[in-house]
Amino acid sequence: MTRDEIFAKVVEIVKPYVKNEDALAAVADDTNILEDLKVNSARLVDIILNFEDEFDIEVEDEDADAVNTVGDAVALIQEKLS
Amino acid sequence: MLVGNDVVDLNDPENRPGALHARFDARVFSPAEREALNAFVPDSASRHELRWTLWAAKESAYKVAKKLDPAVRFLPRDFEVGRIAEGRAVVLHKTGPFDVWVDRTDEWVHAVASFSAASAASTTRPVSGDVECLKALGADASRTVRELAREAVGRWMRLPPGQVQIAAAGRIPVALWRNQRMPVDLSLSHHGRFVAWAWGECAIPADQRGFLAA
Repeated sequence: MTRDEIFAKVVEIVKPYVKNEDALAAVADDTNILEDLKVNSARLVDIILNFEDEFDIEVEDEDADAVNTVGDAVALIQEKLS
Repeated sequence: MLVGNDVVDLNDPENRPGALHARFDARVFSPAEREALNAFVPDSASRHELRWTLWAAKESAYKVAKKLDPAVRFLPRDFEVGRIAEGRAVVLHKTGPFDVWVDRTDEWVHAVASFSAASAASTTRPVSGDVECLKALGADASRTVRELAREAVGRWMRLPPGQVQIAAAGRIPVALWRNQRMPVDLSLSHHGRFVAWAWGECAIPADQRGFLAA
């Protein structure tokens, strides 16, 4: 899976929880999931679990806590898949 | 006294039992907390309320822990709710324990955590705070909660309206008067239709009273 494919999938997973559509329209690696996209912190748990399901990976709590931006998520998933 | 607070809108569609990932509880709650949840029928209102009460208690304690040690991370199972009774809870963590006051209505749950020896021993609430419903759908919750907290802190300090400012030191809100930090520790929260704030009296060292935005 290419980085662009992972990025697109991450955005697709995050999208249902986004409260700031303008930030989503301009989503980039440095887009902060909680602060820019206004995703609720409890929903970030669901998002991480969806990453696990969609990419067939396991994300430890410590790794999950380090996911602040869309780019962080893509990098984590890339690392888990490699 | 350091303070953290968290409000959860119990009727937010995203929080409904069917909307959560099937492994949400296992990811967030300790075995003892899951046992408490399992005492209720799945998808029952009681289980729903307890789930979000536990969550709010953990989040509020995390906010205090982060003030004590900026390196603290929010690993939900590491913030274990030791007990909840009569509107009070204790959250256990390596940086704690944290004393938590819990208010709950049919619409929201609000947890206010604090850390101090005086708080743990106190039978009266040593912190102030409140919950308000947003007046308009789509209102800017962050701005609204800052405004309400500003007014409330101003009233409490008997200052003329408009003289208190709420700024951010990193991601932590601080109350200012004439560009000096006020002797309060402040916490803001919003979720769904609700905003909430809490603060406690807190001595600010003289060398930290001047405010420089981070």
